[in-house]
Amino acid sequence: MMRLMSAMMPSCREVTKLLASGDAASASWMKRMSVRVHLSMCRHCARLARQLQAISETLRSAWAPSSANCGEPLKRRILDRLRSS
Amino acid sequence: MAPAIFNLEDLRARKPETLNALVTEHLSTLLAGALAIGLSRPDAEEVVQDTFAAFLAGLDRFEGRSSVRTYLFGILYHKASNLRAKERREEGRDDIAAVVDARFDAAGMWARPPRGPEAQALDKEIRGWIERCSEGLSDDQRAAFFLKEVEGEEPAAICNVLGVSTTNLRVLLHRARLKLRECLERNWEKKAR
Repeated sequence: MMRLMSAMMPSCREVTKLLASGDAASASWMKRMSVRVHLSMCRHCARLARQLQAISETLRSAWAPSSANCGEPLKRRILDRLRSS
Repeated sequence: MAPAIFNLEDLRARKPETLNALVTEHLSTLLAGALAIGLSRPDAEEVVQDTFAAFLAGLDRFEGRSSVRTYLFGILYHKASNLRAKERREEGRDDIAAVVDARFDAAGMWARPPRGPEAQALDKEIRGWIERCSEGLSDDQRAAFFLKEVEGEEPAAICNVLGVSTTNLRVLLHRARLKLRECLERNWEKKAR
């Protein structure tokens, strides 16, 4: 098992690619495990992973529909235009 | 929550309750999307209006094959990128993959490890950097990120909206995330100096 795991250990370059492309989430169990093991042993990749997480969280909240502040006036303007179209 | 189903005939007849339901359901998402792509507030509001109008005007083309939300987004994206094209700034070749690749050695280990904020809690400054960094992304990268990360859309639907293949979408998101991270690091280093 250990030999199989070490043979499949991804490099930092591969881990970076997996995390940034979003492929890590949809990869096989084996691959996800090997990424997780790598992250537990490599502080550099762990930092990158945390930063990618921070980026996602920030933009998810900054770009959230609830932050868009639609307002009734805009809605009314749109409905007026659509009704008369 | 399942999306509301709109009766196309009611939409065609411009029934007030149906129009209201349509706009109520989709307005905030479309507006958020337009802002995420980088339009100014006035432009975003105008494009969203035009999107709803275009949807109704071309109702016959809809056929209900995709979800209303995806279809509206397709219209929005098309209009938003046309608007942005008019005021296009210089966009250099996208070599972020090469830039990042150069940070690894031949064995694939970090030669120049990632630097940047370690903080678990995201303070206002870091958030501000990230938001400003997003301005350096291309329209399709921003739209892809919005649809994937904020809206949680399926890859197939996103591909539909942007008119790209699944491979291209993966590349878009990959480059977007790397660019954002590199930009975040640059901001952090500038401050640390």
